[in-house]
Amino acid sequence: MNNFSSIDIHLPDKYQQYFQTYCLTRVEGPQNRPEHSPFPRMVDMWFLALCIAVKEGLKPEFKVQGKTYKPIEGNVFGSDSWRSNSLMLLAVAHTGDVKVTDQPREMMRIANAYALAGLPRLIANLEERGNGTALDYLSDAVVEMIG
Amino acid sequence: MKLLRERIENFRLLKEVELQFSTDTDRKLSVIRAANESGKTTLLTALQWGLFGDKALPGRGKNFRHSPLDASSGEAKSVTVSVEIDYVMSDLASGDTIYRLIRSMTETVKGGDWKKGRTDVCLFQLKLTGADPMPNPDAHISPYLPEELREVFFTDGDRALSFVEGARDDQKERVEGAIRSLLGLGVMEKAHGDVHEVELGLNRKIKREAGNRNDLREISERLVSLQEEIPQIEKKINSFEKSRLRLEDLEQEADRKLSDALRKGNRTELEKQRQTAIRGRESAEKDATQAARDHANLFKSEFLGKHLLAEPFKKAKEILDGLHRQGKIPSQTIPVLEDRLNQPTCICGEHLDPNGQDGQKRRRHIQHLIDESRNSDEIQRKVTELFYSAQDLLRPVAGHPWIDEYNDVQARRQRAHRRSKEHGEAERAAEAKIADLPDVDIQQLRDSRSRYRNQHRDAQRQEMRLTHQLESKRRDVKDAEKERKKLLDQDEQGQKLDAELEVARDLQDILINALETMKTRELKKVSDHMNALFLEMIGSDVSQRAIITRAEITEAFSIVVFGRYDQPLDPSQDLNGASRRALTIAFILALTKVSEVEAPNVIDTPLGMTSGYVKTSILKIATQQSSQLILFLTHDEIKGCEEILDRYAGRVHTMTNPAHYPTILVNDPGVDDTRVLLCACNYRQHCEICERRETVSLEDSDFDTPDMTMEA
Repeated sequence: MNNFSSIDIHLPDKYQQYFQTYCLTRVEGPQNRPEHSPFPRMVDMWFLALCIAVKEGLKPEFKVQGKTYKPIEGNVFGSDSWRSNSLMLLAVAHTGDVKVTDQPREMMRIANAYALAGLPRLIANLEERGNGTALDYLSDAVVEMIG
Repeated sequence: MKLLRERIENFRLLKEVELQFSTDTDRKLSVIRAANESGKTTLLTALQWGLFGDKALPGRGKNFRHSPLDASSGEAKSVTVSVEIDYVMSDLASGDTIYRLIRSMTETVKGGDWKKGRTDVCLFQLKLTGADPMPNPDAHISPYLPEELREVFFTDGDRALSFVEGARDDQKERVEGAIRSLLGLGVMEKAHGDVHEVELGLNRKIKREAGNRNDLREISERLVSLQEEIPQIEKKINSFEKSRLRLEDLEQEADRKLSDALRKGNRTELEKQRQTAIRGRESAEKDATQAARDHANLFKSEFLGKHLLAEPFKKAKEILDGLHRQGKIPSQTIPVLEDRLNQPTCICGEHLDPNGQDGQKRRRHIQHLIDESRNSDEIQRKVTELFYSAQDLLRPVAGHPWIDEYNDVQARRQRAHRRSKEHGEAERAAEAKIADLPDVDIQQLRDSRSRYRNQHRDAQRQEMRLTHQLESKRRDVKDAEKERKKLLDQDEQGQKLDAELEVARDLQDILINALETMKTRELKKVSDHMNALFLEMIGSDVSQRAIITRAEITEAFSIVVFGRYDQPLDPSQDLNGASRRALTIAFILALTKVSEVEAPNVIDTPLGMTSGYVKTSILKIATQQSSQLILFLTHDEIKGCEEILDRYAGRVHTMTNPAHYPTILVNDPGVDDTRVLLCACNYRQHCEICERRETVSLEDSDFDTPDMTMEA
């Protein structure tokens, strides 16, 4: 069961161009290659940003400033139950209270706060790749993080 | 015969030139130093015209303008062209006799047009008392310097290469022509033909005078017929031999072209290779893309999530485990109560018989408890569900599965990229080869080679058949002659005719033997001498595993060279420029030596394409072997040979073209017209006329190719 099916994710407009650049679903033409756009879907980029924030101990960003847009719809979690569970576990850990599992919007608010904290770090990493491909540059960063 | 002096007037660039040649036996060499375009070839032509007349000019002088091109600016003008040559003849009886040969002609010129006048030639014997005119000048020179030997004694380095370069039947013809002229084979063969005619005549006479002796008439008729047939067969054999050689050349040429084309590649085969490479590249690219997609999918993998979210998962696990320990999860009440409804007794031990009143009452109570639990804790249900469904996430990760998967996919990508690169290179190489392919049809080349091969074999078969036929005819002649002798010996008249025939046959035998001797022994002498000179010139030491081991002139008048293990080499292809030049000069020197004709060797640019050891040894050996050697050398040819010139050069002149100022020459020669200037500077000197700049243009460097093979 998808607890987040009716909850969409909103992000500040400033991230729109990066999602368009680095997510395969948003890229067309010769640049539509995993080497240049390493995330199959936008939710993958969003989720990795969240993970990075957690791993790096970044402070979740609950305040969303400026104009936002909706890059991801909640029903996307229906196909990845482990992600749905991850968001719930993250919320439980963050609040220290299992009652939060009955509040999908709150759980998503917490998750998005982490994603917002991780996105600048993730984007900075991708943008620093120089002559390397985004895929390989990001992989090196991830290996370093978990290695 | 030795040349003493040459004076040239108005012969093209040579408006007024006088040269002295060395006759010193210790310093036999005369050097004319001149850069390119400074009159060397003109000087060689003028010398030959002076000695042999118009037939020595290019195209036998038909469209040859003798006078300088700038002789007339527009108005008609008569220009006298003359070449004056002093030479000395020596013989034991009368000692040295000096002659002066003057050949002159007047050309009427008007701008670029010219009209030839009559050529005069006169010869004088120079004496202390004056000059005695000699009759028939051309006939006087001919025995000492036959016209047919002109190209042997007067040659230029490039032209001499035709003895070993070009089509083989042409090479052979030139070598044969030179040898025949020098050894007088033509005269001997004519004598042989004459005696043959006498013999034929005698046979006809016998036939006529046979009277009623049918047997003698028949045998004579047969002999006449055979003797008429034999030269025709010989002629045919000669013709087939020439065809065979030409076809062999054509076959080899076609084979070479085919090999070259095949080495560069067969278009169809290359296209196939290109298509295979394209398919390979596309498949590798597809694999690379798939591997990259799999690589990208790693960013959404559960392993990665577990790694990165390990910390909060741990915390959540502690909370959930706590609830589990407290029995809050999983919520066991409902399943336990539901389970009891299926049992005959309750947990407390009372019966739950649905037919009994007490049992029914107790069952209703249990159902009530179940309903109450269901409604009370949705949160607990969700937590329970999370607890169980997230067990995989909550289990600690062993090792680094994400990194393992990453390494695998990375290796796949690298392999695919490597394959793509290899196929891409193969594709580009095939494309480059296709682009580089001459517009040659391989099949057409194969057909040509096959055609020439068949024709060549056919000519070979015909030649063999005719040779066999000739031998058979010769045997028939011998048998018939024996038979005829028997018949002639039967009467006095016959005996007389037989005696005459005997004389003719003896003469014939003598001539045949002499010819055979010249063709074999004398030819072998030339061949051996050429071989010795050639090997010395190129410094080939057979005991030191030299690349070239020997050279020889075959009985069929071809110059052939052999490498290690007596492997035949094609001089025109397997020898480098310096070795080819050494071979031709060795051939010329050997011919003049064996013929014992004492005449000057005049060679224009003999050392082109040579350098180092080969260059100096050609110069040294040529000087030692000649009775008189006159060389026209460029500055570059002289470079490195100064010490040998110090030792052997008796006379040196320098010719300079004033038009080379200021590009090559330092000083302005102050000459307005087109002419070559002469000075007495030797190869180490320069004067105001001939001084050159340190660095001269490529034009003046003779385009020499260093001798790579022999000096390596």
